[in-house]
Amino acid sequence: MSNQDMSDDDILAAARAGFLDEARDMLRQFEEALLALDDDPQDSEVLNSAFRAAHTIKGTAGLFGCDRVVAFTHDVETLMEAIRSGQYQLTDEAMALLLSSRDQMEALLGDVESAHGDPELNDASQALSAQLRGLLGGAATHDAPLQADTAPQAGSTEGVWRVWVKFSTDALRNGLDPLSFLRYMGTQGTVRRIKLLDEAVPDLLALNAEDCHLGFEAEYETTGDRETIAGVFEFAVDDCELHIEPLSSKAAAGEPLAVAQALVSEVLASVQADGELLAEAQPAERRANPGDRRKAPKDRRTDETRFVRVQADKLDRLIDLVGELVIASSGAQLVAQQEGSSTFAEAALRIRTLVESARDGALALRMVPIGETFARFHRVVRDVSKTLGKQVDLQISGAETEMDKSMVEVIADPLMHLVRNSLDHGLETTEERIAAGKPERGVIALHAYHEGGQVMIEVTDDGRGLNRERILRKAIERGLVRADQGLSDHEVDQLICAPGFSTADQVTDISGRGVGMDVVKRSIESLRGQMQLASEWGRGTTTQIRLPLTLAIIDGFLTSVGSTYYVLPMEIVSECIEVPPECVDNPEAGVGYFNLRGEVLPYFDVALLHKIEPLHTGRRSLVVARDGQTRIGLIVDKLHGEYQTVIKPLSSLFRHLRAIAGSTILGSGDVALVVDVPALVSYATEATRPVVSTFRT
Amino acid sequence: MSTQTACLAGEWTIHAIAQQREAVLVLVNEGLHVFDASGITDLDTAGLQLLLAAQRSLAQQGRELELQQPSSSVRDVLQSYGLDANLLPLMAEERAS
Repeated sequence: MSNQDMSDDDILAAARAGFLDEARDMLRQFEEALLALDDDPQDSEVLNSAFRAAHTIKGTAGLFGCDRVVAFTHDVETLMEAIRSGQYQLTDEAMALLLSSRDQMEALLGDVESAHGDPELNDASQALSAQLRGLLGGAATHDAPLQADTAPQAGSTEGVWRVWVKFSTDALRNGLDPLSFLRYMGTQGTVRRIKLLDEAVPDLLALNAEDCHLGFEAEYETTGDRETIAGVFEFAVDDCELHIEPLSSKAAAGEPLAVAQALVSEVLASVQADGELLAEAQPAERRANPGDRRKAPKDRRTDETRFVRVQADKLDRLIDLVGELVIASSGAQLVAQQEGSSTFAEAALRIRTLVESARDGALALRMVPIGETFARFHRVVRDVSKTLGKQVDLQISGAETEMDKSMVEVIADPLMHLVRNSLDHGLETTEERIAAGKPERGVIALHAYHEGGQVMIEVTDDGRGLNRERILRKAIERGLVRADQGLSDHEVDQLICAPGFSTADQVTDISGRGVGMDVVKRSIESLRGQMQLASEWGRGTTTQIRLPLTLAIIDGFLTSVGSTYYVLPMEIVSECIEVPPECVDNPEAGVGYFNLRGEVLPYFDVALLHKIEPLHTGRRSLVVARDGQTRIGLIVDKLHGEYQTVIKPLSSLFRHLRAIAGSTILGSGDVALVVDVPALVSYATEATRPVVSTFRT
Repeated sequence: MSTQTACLAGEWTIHAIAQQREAVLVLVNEGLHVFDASGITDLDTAGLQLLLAAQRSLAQQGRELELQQPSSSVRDVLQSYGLDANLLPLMAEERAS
């Protein structure tokens, strides 16, 4: 915390970015805490967490001169403080207001970032501030100390406050000496009475002398308000627990009631001279078991200190570079083989092993838990279910499942759409649920886990399920399928992801905004993922999303046709067989059907894809590839085995190429094309279709 | 032996507090409880906490810590925290800061 060093503009700008980043984290914490409070308004730990978050935002915003953020957050904080001290009971109205305040804070912070100075935001701030204060205004009429707190400052009159502060174990090590705060307080007012809180100090043997076990409680006379006092401890906000409480009303001169109140406080204070009675219930309780209460936040803090924030593009550059290294080192290995030098080969092999572990390490740096994305759905579910008048519980599991950061960002929107869909179309209204004999409260579950080197995300609801009859009818109406096609239930379910399909009879403002499931499916597929729906009428729907761990790297299966190399993603390869005789009999067609252990599957000669002349020497092979429920045989010239590689996106010049997701460079310097299997499958299905019709007639 | 006085000296701040603790631990284990604090050049909260811990250890042995001739730095800290020379709270009187 060396704020003195920040004179340089560059450092300030960097620190500002850090502040905005931190403020967003705090907003998330604030929101999570509020939503948890919505479930259990009595949870003081959560309330404190929300308060701390608001306080930290205000504190750091002040440091960077973001006055609008400070002014607005102050009102939020005041309300939080009143709730925390029990002066105000949390109502639904207040909760709604606090949630909108969170959004307002976010907007204000966004404005700081873009440096717009949007005047409309000011109006919104003022309106919300007025509402926040309005809530307290009503409560404060029967609450003198609070009134004293929020009343306009008379300026010259001094208020008496009780300041209770306990420092964290790390405070001394972090260079925060409680004494310096106490002395600073002395310069801003008068410390009339002081009590050292030393109950937690262990004996010599048990003492780690650099830990801090102290705090103090002071009776403090100052012209400043609560905020000014809290400001004294501002840069120790992470390292101390602070309670400030007015002991006297800041007596406006000549107002008898206030004077009497001040006198009573004085008397009370002297009666409570031993300080024990002075302590309010909450800190007393904390002191009773200082160990377990402090533990959780402390552990969290030590976790935080182990993190380093790095800009994502730096990480991307590193991964790019490591990818090049992998290629270069396989090149070196190849040269070593050609030179026939065994020592060189050995050295090259060693380098390659190291480079590969470096690559794995670099990729692991990008992995983040998906939980952050999940957490934001609490708010969505709460807001939307209120709008729709449905009662919904959100269950989350597997929040710790890790995946590539860039994917976590991209996946948020499709997930949001799925959750909204479930809320809007999936779950019935409370009456319908009761009529159907289901529990009143609907459940939406988000579940993430790793399976076979992939990330699985499931969005499940226990709503009405998909109406297959209606889906089929609509699909036929729109010419998506033919009536005589004889689709399986599963295939019918997938139809709602077909482009231009929407079953909602009535367009609502929740999900009826022209974005259909086809868009969701497409964005999942752009992440090399797959999406499946499963539904049971009356019981609910599950959408399963299968994603690769990372986009930057692919576990591939290297094949070649002619002199062109194709990499198939390993996860789609289910088996490799010799080209069956029925394909060999008809080599000119390149497409058709073959028999895989009694099952009829379409096949496609990859040579057709780019019109490459296949090698007719040697045996060709057929790779059975799986895309969701569809399986297809792909005929290639040669199989080269497993190949892990870093994908390079194709330049925009090649964007029109069908079924190619990217490229990679082999150790030999040759280029290999990474096959986009869903696209290839649809291309191949198209190619086999004429065969189907001749087959049928 | 019971009235023997040990001299505490040097810097009693967070930077040196671990070594000071070792030293005090030895003194307390030897049964000393009267300390001459005139040699303490600098005292901070970590130093005060160490004195409090020593007081606690001594109390467990049924003895009281006694600080003699506290240096100005020591007096200053004690006063700021509202403690008397024997590290006991000075609650009775009003204190100006």
